[in-house]
Amino acid sequence: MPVEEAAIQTRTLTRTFGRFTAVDAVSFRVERGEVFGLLGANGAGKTTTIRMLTGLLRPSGGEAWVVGVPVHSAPESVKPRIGYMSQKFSLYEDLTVAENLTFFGGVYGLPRRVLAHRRAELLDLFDLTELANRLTSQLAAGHRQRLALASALIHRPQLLFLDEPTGGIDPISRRTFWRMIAGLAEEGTTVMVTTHYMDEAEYCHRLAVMRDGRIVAVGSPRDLRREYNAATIEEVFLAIASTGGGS
Amino acid sequence: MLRSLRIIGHVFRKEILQVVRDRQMLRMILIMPILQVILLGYAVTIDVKYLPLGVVDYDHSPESRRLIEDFRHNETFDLRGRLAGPGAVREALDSGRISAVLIIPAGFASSLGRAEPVSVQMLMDGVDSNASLIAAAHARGIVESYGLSLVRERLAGRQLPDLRPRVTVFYNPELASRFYMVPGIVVILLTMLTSLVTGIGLVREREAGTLEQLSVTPIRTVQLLLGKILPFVLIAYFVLAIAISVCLFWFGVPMRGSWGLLAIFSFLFLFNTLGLGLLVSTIARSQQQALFMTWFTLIFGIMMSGLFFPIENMPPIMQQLTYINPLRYFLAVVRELFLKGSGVGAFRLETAGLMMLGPLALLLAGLRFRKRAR
Ligand SMILES: Nc1ncnc2c1ncn2[C@@H]1O[C@H](COP(=O)(O)OP(=O)(O)OP(=O)(O)O)[C@@H](O)[C@H]1O
Ligand SMILES: [Mg+2]
Repeated sequence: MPVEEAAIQTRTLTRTFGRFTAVDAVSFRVERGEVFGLLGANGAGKTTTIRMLTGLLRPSGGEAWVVGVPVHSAPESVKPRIGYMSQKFSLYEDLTVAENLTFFGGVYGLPRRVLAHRRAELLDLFDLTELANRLTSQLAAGHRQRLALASALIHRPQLLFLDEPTGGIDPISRRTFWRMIAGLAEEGTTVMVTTHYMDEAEYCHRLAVMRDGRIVAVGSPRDLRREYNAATIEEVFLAIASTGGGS
Repeated sequence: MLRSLRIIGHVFRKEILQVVRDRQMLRMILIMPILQVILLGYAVTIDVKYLPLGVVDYDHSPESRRLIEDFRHNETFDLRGRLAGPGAVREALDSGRISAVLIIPAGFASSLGRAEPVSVQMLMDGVDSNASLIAAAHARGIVESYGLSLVRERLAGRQLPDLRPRVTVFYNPELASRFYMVPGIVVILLTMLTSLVTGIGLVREREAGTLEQLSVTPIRTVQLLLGKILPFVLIAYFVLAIAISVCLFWFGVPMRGSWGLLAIFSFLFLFNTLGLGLLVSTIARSQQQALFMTWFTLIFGIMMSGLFFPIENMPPIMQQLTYINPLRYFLAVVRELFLKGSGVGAFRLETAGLMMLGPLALLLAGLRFRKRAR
């Protein structure tokens, strides 16, 4: 298996819940430095795929290498090197912005100096310095999302998983957010992101469309539009959903 | 190693911050122990005093009046008045106005005079079986010593054997059940607080999704669990200090043993309750479930601890079961330390029990707790 170069490489990755197959023999490859989008209707299997890749969920079958680590057999080894922002906001609401960053940095084992420096850097980068001592429960949705991203980046991961990062965020905040993602990718961080906003899909280098646990189309936004003879990714998506399959 | 300690330190600090931010929790930790020990300390005495007593006197003789006087001067009973006959007795017992009735039969005095056997009847409300048992024993004592005094009068001037038990009670000379119960309440308080708080803590993190966020970090299970437990060991000592102060200064319970021993045994005990809390949190799916499970286990543990019912009085199977109840051991230690001042040598069984059960619970919790969902 050629694993050296890829950020993510899966082979017939599968997850079943009882008799239900949520992710069905999925194989794909994500290159380093790529922004890779995962599209699909509710229940298509996006979150389940990401949970397997982050070592949160044991695959029922198949294999997955993430930054070179076989997560199907050694899920703990991948954790220091990846960041994860879950679909549901999951930071401590009763801690302040700075305290959340300190805590997660601390849990990754960052030394005190490094942690303090990194925290200041992220607060600055995400424009949260003024809110550093605000309780997280009092933050507006856009600020929460920036804090969640900052927390996921505190240990400088090589690979970032973002599960519906822009749900419930206003258009301006969304645009700022995607600009930051682009910046990260330029610095060499690989990003795997799911979204329901088709306009956002255009920001991705490559896309995979999932349906009923399978990947039914993969390619750059431009290739997909061409292949489906569509003007927008939204049309591609609807075409796949209605014809019921890839090419 | 250093890195590991640092990670534990970060979890520790986070837990403390969360407790301090939670006003309700803070109030519970500061005020509850004082209130609970004081209120329960008064409520759970098992001394029987001033039990309402009714009297039916069919004899109306000086002798019957003397017996009634003896009852009147005993603290166990509170003579509420005379009852006319069976109907009135029934009604008074049924309504709960009185809890005991003394019935002196007609011909009481004349039977005594002719040295014929004669008995007086005691009717007891047995709903509170403990209290009525104790009161019945007191009633028997009153009647017997009245009988004995009659014998002495009759045989005045003769040489009589005079055998009496002279009971000296050690460690709790006034036999105040409060001295016996109040340290027990402290134990219960400590148990509830520590097991509930840890049990709910982890489940709350699972519900909030923060546990998942923690699970994608490289933190080890041991680091996480230690970081979550240790703050509550600290808090537990704090609560213990408050509750014991109430024992000493409010109720005047004597502390005859070593504070050091108390601290050490508390530490051993805390691993039991914290282990239970963690174990529950690995099983429960919601905070409510965690609450119910902990509650259920605790009720069982408290009932089987020997605080309310002596363990020797339980059926053999139940007695065997109490060996897996950490409360049983800690309660014994606390009581003996307070009232008797025993040394370590007296607590071999307790030491062994606590040292085995606590780590066992923690081990089980650690094994059940997984960062990765299956
Ligand atoms: N723990 C679980 N137990 C049983 N079924 C599950 C579990 N997790 C997910 N599923 C099921 O697997 C399917 C895929 O779920 P998943 O969360 O991966 O979808 P998704 O693509 O992320 O959807 P959404 O856009 O709504 O987030 C769904 O039908 C879901 O009900
Ligand atoms: Mg999802």
